[in-house]
Amino acid sequence: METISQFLILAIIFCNFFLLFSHSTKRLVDLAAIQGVLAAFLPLLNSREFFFEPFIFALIVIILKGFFFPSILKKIIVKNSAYEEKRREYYGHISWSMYLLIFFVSVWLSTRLNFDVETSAWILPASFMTIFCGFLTIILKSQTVSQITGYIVLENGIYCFGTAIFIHQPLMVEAAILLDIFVAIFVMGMAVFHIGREFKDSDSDSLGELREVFEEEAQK
Amino acid sequence: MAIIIASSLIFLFAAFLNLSVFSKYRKVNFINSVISFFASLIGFGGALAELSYGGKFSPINNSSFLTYFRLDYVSCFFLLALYLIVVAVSIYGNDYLKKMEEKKQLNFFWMNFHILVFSMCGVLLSKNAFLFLLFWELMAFSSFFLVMTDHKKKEVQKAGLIYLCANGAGALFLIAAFSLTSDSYFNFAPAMSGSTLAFFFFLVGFGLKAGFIPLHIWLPEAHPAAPGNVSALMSGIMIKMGIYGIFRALSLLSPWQQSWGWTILLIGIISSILGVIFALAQHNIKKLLAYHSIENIGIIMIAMGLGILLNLKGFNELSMLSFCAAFLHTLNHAIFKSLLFMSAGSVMQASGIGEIDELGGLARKMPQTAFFFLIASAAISGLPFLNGFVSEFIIYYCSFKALSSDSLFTVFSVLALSITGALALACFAKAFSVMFLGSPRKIKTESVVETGKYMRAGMAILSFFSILIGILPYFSFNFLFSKFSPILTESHVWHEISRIFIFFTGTYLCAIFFFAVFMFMRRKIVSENRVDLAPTWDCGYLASSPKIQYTGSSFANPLIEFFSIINPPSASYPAIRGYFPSDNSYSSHPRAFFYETLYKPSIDKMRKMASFFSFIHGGNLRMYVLYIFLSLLALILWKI
Amino acid sequence: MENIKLFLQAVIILFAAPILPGIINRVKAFFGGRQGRNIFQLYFDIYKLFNKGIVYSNTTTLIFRIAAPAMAALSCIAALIMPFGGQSGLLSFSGDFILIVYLLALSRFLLIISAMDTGSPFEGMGASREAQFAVFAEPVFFMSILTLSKITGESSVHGIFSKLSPVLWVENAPVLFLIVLSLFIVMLCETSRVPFDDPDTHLELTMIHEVMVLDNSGPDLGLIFYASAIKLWILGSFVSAIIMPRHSEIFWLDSLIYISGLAIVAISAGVVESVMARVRLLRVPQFLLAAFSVAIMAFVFQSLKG
Repeated sequence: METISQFLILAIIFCNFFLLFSHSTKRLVDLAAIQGVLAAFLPLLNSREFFFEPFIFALIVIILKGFFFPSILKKIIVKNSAYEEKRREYYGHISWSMYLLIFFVSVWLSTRLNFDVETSAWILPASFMTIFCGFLTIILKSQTVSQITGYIVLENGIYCFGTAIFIHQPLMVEAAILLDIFVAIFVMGMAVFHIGREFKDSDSDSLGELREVFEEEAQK
Repeated sequence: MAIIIASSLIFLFAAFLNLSVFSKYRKVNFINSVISFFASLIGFGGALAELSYGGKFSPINNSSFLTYFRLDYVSCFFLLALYLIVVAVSIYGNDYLKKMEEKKQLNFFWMNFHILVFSMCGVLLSKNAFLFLLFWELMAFSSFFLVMTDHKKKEVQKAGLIYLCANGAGALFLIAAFSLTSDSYFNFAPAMSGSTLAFFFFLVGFGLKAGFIPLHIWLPEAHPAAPGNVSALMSGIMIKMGIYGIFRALSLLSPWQQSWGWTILLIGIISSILGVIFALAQHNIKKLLAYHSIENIGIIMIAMGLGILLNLKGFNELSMLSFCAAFLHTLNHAIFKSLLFMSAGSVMQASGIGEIDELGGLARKMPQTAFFFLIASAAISGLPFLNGFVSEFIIYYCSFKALSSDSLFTVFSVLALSITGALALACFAKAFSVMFLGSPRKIKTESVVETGKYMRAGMAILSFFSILIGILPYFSFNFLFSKFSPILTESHVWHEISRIFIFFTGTYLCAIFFFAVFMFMRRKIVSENRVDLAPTWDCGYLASSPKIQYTGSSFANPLIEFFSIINPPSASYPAIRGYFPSDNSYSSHPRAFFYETLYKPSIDKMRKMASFFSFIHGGNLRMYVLYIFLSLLALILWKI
Repeated sequence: MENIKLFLQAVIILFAAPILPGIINRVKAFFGGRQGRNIFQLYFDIYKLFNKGIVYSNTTTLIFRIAAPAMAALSCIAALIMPFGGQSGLLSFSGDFILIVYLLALSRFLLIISAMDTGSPFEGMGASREAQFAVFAEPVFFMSILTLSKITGESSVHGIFSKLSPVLWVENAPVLFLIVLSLFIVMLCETSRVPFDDPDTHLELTMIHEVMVLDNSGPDLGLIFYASAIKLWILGSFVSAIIMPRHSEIFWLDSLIYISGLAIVAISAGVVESVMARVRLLRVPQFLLAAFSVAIMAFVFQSLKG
C-alpha cells in the first residue's frame, strides 16, 4: 500500500517535472490531466474502511480532471491555434534551477511541519512541489492556455495536500476544492476562448501590449 | 633545521651578491641559477631528512637558541614542496632567461628571486607574529618586482598594480588578525573572545594570497604578466603560503566552529567550480592555467573544510586524513602546476605566441615538452596513474566513509569534486590537444625547435615526482604522512588507505601488462599486414586544411554556452554594411567576471566619493599649517 | 576454488562483453521488422578488423598510436574490478567505484586527445561533445552511488551489490526505482547510445563516439569496439545488480542471474533505441540535468525516510 502510494507520488512529481520542460500546450494539458487522475487515486489508498463515497468521489474527480477539463482546453487550443510555447533564452537553465529550488524548499517545509500523515511521508513535499510548480507554470509560460493549466496543477497540489492532512472530513474539503476548480476553469475557459476569437493571438506577452493601447486610449 | 636555515641563508647571501658584486657583470644568469639549484637541493635534502625523522633530525629544533623560529611537521612539509619547486625552477631559469639576458641585466631579477625564496622559508619557519608579517611583506614585495619584470608593457603594469593592492589589503587584514590573537610580545596567544572575527580576518588576509573566489582577481592578471619561471614559482608555491597561513590560523583558534567549516567548504566548492568554468573560456594559455590554480585552491579548501566538519562530527581519524589530503593536494598541485607553467613558458618562448588557438602541431617539433605537458594535464584532471588522483581519492574516501544522515557536507564535496574533475578534464584535453596536436593553425612550425636541455631537465624532475607519487602512492603517502599524527597512523583508517594504495599500484601494473599484451598483439598482426601513412581520412573529406580544425574556443563552446548565464563572453563584430560580401571579423573574449562586475564598479564609486574630499588637499601650504594647528588644539582639548 | 572462480569470472567478462551490443542490435532489428545482424556479429567484426592492416594519418603523433590499446587495457582492468555474480571482482575496497569511474575517464581523455590529434573538424566536434556530456553525466553517477551507499551502508561496489536483495527492494522500492532510472540514463550517455548519440549513423550531426574513431583502422578499431563493449558491460552491471539482486550464494546460479540481468539491460537499451529519437544536442545537458534531479530526489527521499 505504502509502496503503491509512493509510486503514485513519484509519478505526480514526474508530471511536475515534465510540465516545466514541455513546449507543446497539448502536452501540458495532458500532463495536468494525468496528474489530476493520479491524485484522485491517492485518498483511495488511504482509507481503511470500505465506504462507497470515496470511490464515487474519485470517479467524479477522474471524469472532471481527466476528460472534461482537457477537452475544454484542447478545444480552446485548436480554436486559438495556440499549439506551441515561445522559446526563450536560458529557459532551460531557469526552469531547472527553479525546479531544484522548489524541491529543496518543499522538502525543508515538510520537515518543519510535523504532521502525522497516513499515506507515506513523501506526500507533503510532493504537494508543495505541485503547488509551486503550478505557480511556476503560470509565471514562466507564455500562452494563456498554459496559464490555465498551471492553475489546474496548482489545485492538484492543494488536493494532494488535502488528502494528506484532512483525516476526518476529507470529502467535504475535497468537494469544496473541486467546485472551486470547476467554476474557475469554466469562467477562465470562456474568457480565453472569447479573447482568442477577438484577437487572433492568445500569447500573453502580446496581450501585454494591450495595456499601452489602453493607456493611449485613456489619455485621449 | 640547521640545514634548512643554512640553505635559506645561502639564498639571502646570493641576493646580496646580486645587489653588489654581480652588478658589474653582464651575464649572471648561469651562476645565479647554479647557486639557487644547489642551495635548494641542500634545502630539499634537509627537508626530506626532517620529514622522515619527524622533525627530530636536528638537535636545534627543540633548543631555546632560536626561540622565534620553529620547525614542526607542517612547516617541514611545505618546505619540502617549496624546495622541490625551486630546484626545478632554478634549472629551468637557466635556459628560459637567456633571451631576456640579451636585452637587460638580470641581477635585479635574481636578487628578487633569491629574496622571494628566502622570505618564503622565513614565513614557514617563523613562530612569532612580527617575524611572520615581516617575511610575508618581503615575499609580497619581491614577487611584485618579479611580476613587473617586463614593466614597459601596459598590461604588466596593470597586473602589477592589482597585485600590489591585493598584497597590501591582505597584509592589512593579517595585521588586524594577528593583533587580535597575539600578546604584546607578538607571540601567538590563545584566542580571546571574538575568535570568529579573527578567523574572518585570517581567512580574508590569507585568501588574498591563496586566491579563492572572490578574492582571486590578481591571479589571472599577475600570472600571465610574469615571466614563465616566476609564474611557476608563484603559482606553485607562493599561493600555498596562503593555505599554510589558513592552516596555522585554524590551529591557533582552537575550538573550531561549525560555521567556519561550512564557510571554508562553500568557498572551496564555489572556487573550484567557478574557477574551472572561467578557465574553460580562456584562450591565453597562462590565464587558463591561472584560473586552474583557483580551482585547485578550491579543492584544497574543500579538503580542509571537510576536515573541520568531520572533526566537529567526531570522525577524528577521517578528519586528519582529510587534512592529509589537503596537504598532499598542495604538494601535488605545486608539482603539476609548476610543470604546466614551465612547459607553457617554453612553448611561448619557442613559438612567440601565447594564444592557444593559433598554435597546433607542436608535438612533432617539441615532443618532450608535449610529453611533460601531457603528464601535467592528466595529473591536474585527477586521472589515475598520476598524483592528482591520489589526493582526490582520499577526499572522496573520507566523504563516503562519513556519509550519514546529518552529514550533508560530504554530498556537497563529492559532487563538487566530480564536477570539477570532469570540467578540468575537458579544459585540459582542449588545451593540450589544441596546442600540441593536429596541424599548425596560424603558427609556422618550421622555426620551432625543442627547448633547451636545462628547461627540459627542470620539467623532467617534476614529472618524475608526479609519476612517482601517482604510481607508488603507498610509499609516498607513508613517507610523507606517517609522522603527521600518531593517532592517525595507528588507526584502522590508515591501514585501509595503505591497503587501497597497494591495490592501486597493483591495478596500474595490471593495466600496463594488458597494454603491453595489446600492443604486442597489434605488432604481431601488423607486421604481417601493412601500415600505411595517408592524409586524414575523416569520412572522405577531400579539402581538409589546418584552418578548418577545431580550435580551443570551438572545443569549449558547448560548455561555455551552457555556462554563459554566469559568465557571458563579450563578443565584438562590426555591423555588416553594403550589398556585396567583403571582409569582416568577429572576436570574442572571456570577461574577467568578478573584476568587471564587482571590483571595478566599486573602485570607481569609491574614487568618485573620494573626489568629494579632494578640496582638503588644496596644495596651499598655509592650509596645511592650519590643519596642524587645529589637530593640536583638538588633542589639547581632549586631554583636558 | 576461489582462484578458479576468479579466473573464470575474468574470462567470462573479457570474452562475453561483445554479446551485449549484439543483443541491442537484434532488438532494434526486431522493432524494425527485420531479422537483423547476428548476435555474435561484433566478434566477427573484431576478428575481421584484427586481420587488416592499419592506415595512420600523417597528422597524428605517438598518442594516436597508443590510444587504442591503452583504452582497451584500461577498460579491461576496470571491468575486472567490477563484481561478478555474487562474488567480488579481482579487487574490492572502499571507494573502488571511484577508481573504476576514473579509469574510464582516463580512457575518455585518451580518446578525446587522439581524436583531436587527427586535425580534422569532425573528430574535434565529437571530442568536444564527448567532453561536454561527461561533465553532466559524472555527477549523476556519483549521486546515485551516494544514494546506494546510504541505503546499503557500504562503500565498495561489492559491498553495495551484496547488500542489494529483494528485501531491500520491498522496503525501498521507489528510491531504488529512481536510482535505476538515473543509472540507466548515465549508461546510455556514457556508452553513446540513443538518446545521446546514434551508434548507427555516420553523419556529423548525430554522432559523438563514432566520429571520434573515424581515423582508426584495423586492429586499433577492433580494440576500440571491444573497449566500448566492455564499458557497456561495466555500466550495465550497475543497473543489472539493482534490478536483479541475487543472493543464493551459489556461484552458478548467481552468475546466471547476473548475466541474465545484463541481458535485460541490453534489451531495454535496445527498446529505448528503437522507440526514442535522439535528443536535440542543445537539450542533452538539460536531459542529463533531469537525470541529476532524479538522483537528487532519490537521495533526499532516502534521507527523509531514514
